[in-house]
Amino acid sequence: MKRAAFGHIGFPILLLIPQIAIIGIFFYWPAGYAVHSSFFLQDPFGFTSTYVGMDNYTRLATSSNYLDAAKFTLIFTILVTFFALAIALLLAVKADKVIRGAKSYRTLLMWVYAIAPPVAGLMGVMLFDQSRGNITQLLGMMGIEYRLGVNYWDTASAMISVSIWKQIPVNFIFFLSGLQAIPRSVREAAMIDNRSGTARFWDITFPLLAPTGFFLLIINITYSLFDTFGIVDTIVKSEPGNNPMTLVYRVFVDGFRGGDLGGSSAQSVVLMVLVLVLTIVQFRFLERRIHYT
Amino acid sequence: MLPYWEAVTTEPTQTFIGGAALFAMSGFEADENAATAAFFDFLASSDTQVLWHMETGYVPITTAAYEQAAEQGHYVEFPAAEVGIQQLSLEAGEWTRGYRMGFYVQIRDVMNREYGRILTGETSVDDAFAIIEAESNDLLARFAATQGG
Repeated sequence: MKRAAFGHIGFPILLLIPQIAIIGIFFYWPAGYAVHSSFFLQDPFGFTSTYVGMDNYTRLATSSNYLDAAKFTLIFTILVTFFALAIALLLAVKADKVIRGAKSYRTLLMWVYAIAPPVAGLMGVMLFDQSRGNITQLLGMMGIEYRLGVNYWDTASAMISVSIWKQIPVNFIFFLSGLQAIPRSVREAAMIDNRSGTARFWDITFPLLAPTGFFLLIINITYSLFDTFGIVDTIVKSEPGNNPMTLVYRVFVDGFRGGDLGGSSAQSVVLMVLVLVLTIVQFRFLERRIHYT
Repeated sequence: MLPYWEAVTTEPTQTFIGGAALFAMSGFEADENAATAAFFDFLASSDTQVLWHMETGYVPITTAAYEQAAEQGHYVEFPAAEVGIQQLSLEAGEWTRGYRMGFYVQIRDVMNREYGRILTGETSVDDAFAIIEAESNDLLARFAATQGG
């Protein structure tokens, strides 16, 4: 193999600078600032700040509201991740088998991908609206009283279903290309060995899809934890009241609306640590069981 | 009633209304402060206030602007526009004190959350207000700490 090398150390560094600058300015600097301000108590005008040590963290650990939001976030993340992956996988497997008009089906299924989270949230709000929402009316016809924004779990189910719906196309695209990367010879050999489609899927297709699935698992957990902000915001309209909210939304509510920067920073540091732990766990324990071809 | 300067008035009226406030912060140069004062003067001038009052329906912040609007016959055409001003001009009393507190937005969130839980039957009124009191006191203590209290 021919080795291509830079003649001088300066040039590659120069090429790296824009990327490093972006990461530094938009990630490390704010992250460092958040860690710093999480140890302080700021007055809402931002003039004075007092060092309070771990006080902001101990407040979180003892706040039942914060723990409730954490519990909800956990349930939310598990449900969104599971269903977004499961439905997308089902659709991808079915779309992979379509022979006639395959491209049209695939395009239609990917379409939702282009929708911005707040728009998805808005569509969800319209579908689940208390007075004119189609889903509310449908449930009403079945005798179920559905009250978005009033009942905790009614709001939660709207948030969860909109978030799942929004994420399916992304997963679908990856699963579909993952399926198409499985060699035809392997599939044909499997078809000779076993007539059952279900058995072939679990024995051959699913393990071969595992690298894609692992990647998507990480992406989806991150999505549920952070990227659903727009959907949550459109549904609760920055007045959560007795409705559920995710941890990342609480950072916004306490910090930017409530003026409690120290407490809010402590919450975002907790989220940073959570993501760090999650990533380590995923790569340490899950990735070992996956075989890349 | 809100705190007031005795130099401006000794007879406060019913002052409590919601809305935003403008603040002039300390720690600026004298000419910057003068510019801030000039801007406040402009905002409080009768012409600006009358325009603001007539165009938006908000009440004017000075009696001079109120009188100017009355002279222009605004209340002949829109009698309802005067009611708010008349109400705010009533004498102040124990019942018009209103409230002013730190971390108000967070306290209001607590109140909204508990009111919602009352309405959905998740909690009783007494329990909800006990929670509001406890959490609000906690937030007030935290606010006091930001002010070195």
